Amino acid sequence: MIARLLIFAAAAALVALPFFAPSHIVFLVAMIGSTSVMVAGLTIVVGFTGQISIAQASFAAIGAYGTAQLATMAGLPHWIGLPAIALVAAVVGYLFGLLSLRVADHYLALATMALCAIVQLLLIHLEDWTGGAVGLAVPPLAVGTRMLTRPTELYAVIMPCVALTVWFLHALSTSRLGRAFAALRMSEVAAAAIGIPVLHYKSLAFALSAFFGAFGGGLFALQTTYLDPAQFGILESVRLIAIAVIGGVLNPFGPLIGSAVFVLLPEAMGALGRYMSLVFSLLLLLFVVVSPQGIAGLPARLRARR
Amino acid sequence: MFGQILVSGITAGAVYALVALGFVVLHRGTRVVHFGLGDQMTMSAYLVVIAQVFLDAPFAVAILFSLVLSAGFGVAIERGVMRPLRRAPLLVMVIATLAIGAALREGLRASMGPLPWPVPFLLTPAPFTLGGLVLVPANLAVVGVALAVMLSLFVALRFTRFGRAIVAVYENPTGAAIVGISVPSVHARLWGLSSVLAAIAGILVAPLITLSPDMGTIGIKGFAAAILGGFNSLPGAIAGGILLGIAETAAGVYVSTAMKDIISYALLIGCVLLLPQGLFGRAEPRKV
Amino acid sequence: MSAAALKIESLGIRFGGLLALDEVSIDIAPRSIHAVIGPNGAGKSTLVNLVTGIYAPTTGRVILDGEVLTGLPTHRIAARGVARTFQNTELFTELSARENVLIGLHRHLGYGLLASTLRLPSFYRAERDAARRADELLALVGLEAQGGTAAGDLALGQQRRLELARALAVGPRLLLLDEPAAGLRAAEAEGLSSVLLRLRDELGLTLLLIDHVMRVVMGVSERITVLNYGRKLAEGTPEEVRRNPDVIAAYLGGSPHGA
Repeated sequence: MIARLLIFAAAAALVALPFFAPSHIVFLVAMIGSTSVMVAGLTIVVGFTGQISIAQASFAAIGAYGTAQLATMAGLPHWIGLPAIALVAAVVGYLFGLLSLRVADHYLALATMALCAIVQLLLIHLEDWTGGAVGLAVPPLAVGTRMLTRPTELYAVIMPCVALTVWFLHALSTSRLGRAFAALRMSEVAAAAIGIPVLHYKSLAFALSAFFGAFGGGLFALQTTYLDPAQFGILESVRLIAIAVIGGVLNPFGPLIGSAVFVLLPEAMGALGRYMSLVFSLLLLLFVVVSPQGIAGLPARLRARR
Repeated sequence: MFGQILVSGITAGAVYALVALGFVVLHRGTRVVHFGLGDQMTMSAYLVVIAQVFLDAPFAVAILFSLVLSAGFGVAIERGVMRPLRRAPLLVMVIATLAIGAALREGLRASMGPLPWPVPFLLTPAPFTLGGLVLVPANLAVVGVALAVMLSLFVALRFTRFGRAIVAVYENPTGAAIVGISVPSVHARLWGLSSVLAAIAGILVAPLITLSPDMGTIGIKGFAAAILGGFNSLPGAIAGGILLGIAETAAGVYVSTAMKDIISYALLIGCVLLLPQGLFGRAEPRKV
Repeated sequence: MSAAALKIESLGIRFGGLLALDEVSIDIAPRSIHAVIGPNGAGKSTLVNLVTGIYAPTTGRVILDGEVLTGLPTHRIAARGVARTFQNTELFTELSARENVLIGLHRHLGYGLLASTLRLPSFYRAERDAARRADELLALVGLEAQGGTAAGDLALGQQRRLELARALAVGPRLLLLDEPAAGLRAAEAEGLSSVLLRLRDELGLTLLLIDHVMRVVMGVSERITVLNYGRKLAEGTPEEVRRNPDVIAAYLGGSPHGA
């Protein structure tokens, strides 16, 4: 009950925010929102199915570059281009899942890491398509002839997407598919013996992860207005993992909580900002060492509270 | 042309082989794949620079300084992170080693700056020709040192108590514990050993490429080499490293330098998918 | 006798140099309890893993009611009505007992991702039916009070019963039980025997029972196959097997579990 009230109050505050907060705060909250969508995808793979993926930044790159270039090169409006590229990313994610999920554990981590490195190199070397190392300008979001560039306008576009993402995570975790994902995490062989198609479902988790990664990446692109391949490397993937883990991978609000920490803390730190990445890495390390079950143990804790 | 590719390939390959050895030495004994090992290479190379530039240490002392600290760092990871996590799910261990790597990289970026540092080297990079091949003394030294390190590793594993305890844990951890070998202390040694191997690789490679906080990405090449070699065979790791070095150099010459890295990463993915036991490893049957 | 429900034809598998199972053939009649016994390493669990498609056999095949199972992936074999339990229980330990059974019902919950995301009426209907079915199954194995307990926190005997409930949730025609009595106290083993008989008589299941606790096997099985070193040593009624000199020499003679 208290949890529901809290969620309701937070939602009301987020709706009211653009009416009273200064625009740079609105921009930051929208940044938390788009980051949380990218991270939401990761929580499905890491939290639900217990697989590791170091390629989430690549799916974000597909979404970001795809959104920009579908508008620039094909003249497609963002509100078609962004969902379309997210679906393409989902297909890519599914196929990559089918291929690489036959191998498990470390090998999967290595394969996704290599994929991430390849995608980043392609961003740098396929200059005709990506602008190369120099980067790429993102055309602004347009509705009809009106350009939505002000923070409040982007906020109004991004935050409903965030709300839908949170709802999706909640609905997934309480559905047969979410339970099947959890089953995969705990015992693949038992899941298969029950009739759960292990490879298909793991690939499906990868596809969902890619979808949200790309969708969040596209939203992110609209906000930053300029894309740089350096933003989409292995380090960014690790950062997204850190956000997911610190926010809590089995809580629908986890991605939002983690993103808030990672976006707001550097702002608050000011001059110490250049140590932030170090602090976050150490925070991640501390988090897993102090509470190694922190990733897997959340559902038990949630149940205990209910 | 082909001879030249071989020479350049073996130079790069020798470094990859050292990193791959670092991965395999550790993984065979502890089942852990250390995703931060590439960043430890960077750290060790920086330690040499720090000792030389800031502490005015002579080259040999600087290297010793770096190797000792690197070994200590490896042991510290085992004590401080991996030992508390030994019963944790694999996912958690992967995240922990990723975090170690990221912390190193970001720590170096924050303290040493994002820009490359010049790394002094004993031998001249001026090339000379021999029998139609262009040879670089610095590169020859890299291969020589790498060979010497590998040789002493094998001698140590076979003929010292230190090494025989490691081999015993490789073959049968339970049996090793029964005959009185302390498995945790062997794990600590393995972490130290693998860190030293990465340190040597890092110190060797830093003068050849640029020493920046992001040099650790070269660790992925070590992964690729280790996977080619099967991830559980020491000679396999060396062969994998050399093969990768040659394949990559050939790709750079015949395809394009831009494609060089892409090809070695693609090789990694391909090998994981099609040949997970590598060229030299054995497949282990799964038990239910 | 009618056609065998499960026909195992010269099934064999080799792991490297080790011949774990050597051309074993077994016919199991429908609505019967058939036991496979043998010392450790005889190939009993390997047999279960071959029937359920976890391992691919080197020779032979498995036929269920005329349909060849060999070559199908594990989840498709389950969809054909084959469920199993595991020697060292493979429960979803972090989830509650009820959720374990609900996952067992996975295939019977017909709704898709869209229905669950939009919370369509079909979602609520299916979930409500599944919850009721899960409670029935928990009651069947005597765990009605433990529905909310995490599977990992249950006692071993309860875990084995929960695995049974989860396997029943799959809706099997054939149930493979891999050492269900291992580690159970005498009273629990008695309870197990009566549950197995109910499964055969009331639900009409065919059971393949792997065990080396002779008390349970002898009491409930119509026929027993004895494996030794991957080969079939003997087969027959419990009485025939008990009197077989080869079996006595290889197994019963050296075993304190004997009658």
